[in-house]
Amino acid sequence: MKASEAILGVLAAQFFGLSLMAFGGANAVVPELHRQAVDVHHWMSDRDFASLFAIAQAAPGPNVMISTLIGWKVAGLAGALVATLAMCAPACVLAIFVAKIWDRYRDAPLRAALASGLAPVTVGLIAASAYLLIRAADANVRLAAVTAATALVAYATRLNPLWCLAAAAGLGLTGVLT
Amino acid sequence: MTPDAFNETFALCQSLPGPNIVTMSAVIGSRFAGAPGALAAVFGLLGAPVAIILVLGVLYTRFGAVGALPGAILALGAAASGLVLATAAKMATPLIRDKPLIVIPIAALAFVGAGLMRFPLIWVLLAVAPISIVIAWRLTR
Repeated sequence: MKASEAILGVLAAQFFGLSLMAFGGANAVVPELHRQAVDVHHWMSDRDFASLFAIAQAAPGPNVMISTLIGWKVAGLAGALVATLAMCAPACVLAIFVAKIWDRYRDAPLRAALASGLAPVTVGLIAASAYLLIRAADANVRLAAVTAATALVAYATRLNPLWCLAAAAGLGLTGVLT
Repeated sequence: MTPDAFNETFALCQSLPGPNIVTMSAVIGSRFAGAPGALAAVFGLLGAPVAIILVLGVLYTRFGAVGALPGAILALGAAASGLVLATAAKMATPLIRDKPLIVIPIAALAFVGAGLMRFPLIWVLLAVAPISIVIAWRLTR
């Protein structure tokens, strides 16, 4: 097996697993993505990871685009497609299957317990994502201030988050933050 | 599709793993036209974003280190991490208001396990989710 095929296999296996662990969506698996990409496989630096995540947030489309970018960074176009497919397909098949039998269990208390039991876990995981991204991105006090201001505006107002990203990027272009 | 059916599908996809918008479009697509419908819906949703993100990825590799761009990308990263923090806070607020004594310890365990200890996600999920689900189950009875 060629090295490039081996790495595609690793990507496929990793995102297959992530797909079925992503309770709460792609943001909840950022800690695991970061652990695999930066700590385990050394595919990229902490800084690279934060940059790719930022690009995925700024681009149109769902959060899952971060897997496309990581796959691309690791193994080019084939990597991007394999990562995206492996991240989406297992969860989609599961959802279609469960939706078929869903009506029978609509009022089952177990379903409600599952949803309300998983919610605080998702909160903890997304907070962990935020922590890891902040640690990677905030190289100085001014960047930390950008993080704090963005978090505050996004939490307290209904402003489209793209405005925050655009304002930050514009400020960054002027060089005052670095 | 009725609004009720839409909300029902949305709730279902939120309590299942995977990127919610993607799984939801797969479910809706499959309801209308089976497996081809699911494929069409997912490709329709992801086709353009994947193409755009790949172009951005290429631009980042080629020009990411040029001129003032590194500063802009760093700032973008700082802002993006702030958005994730706000997402966590927005999700946490109603849950904490409702059941602080359960939500805070469970969320803290997941945070410490995945964020500070850097344990594999599967361990964190297996350790924390069953406890949380059992507690939620007992509270509903």
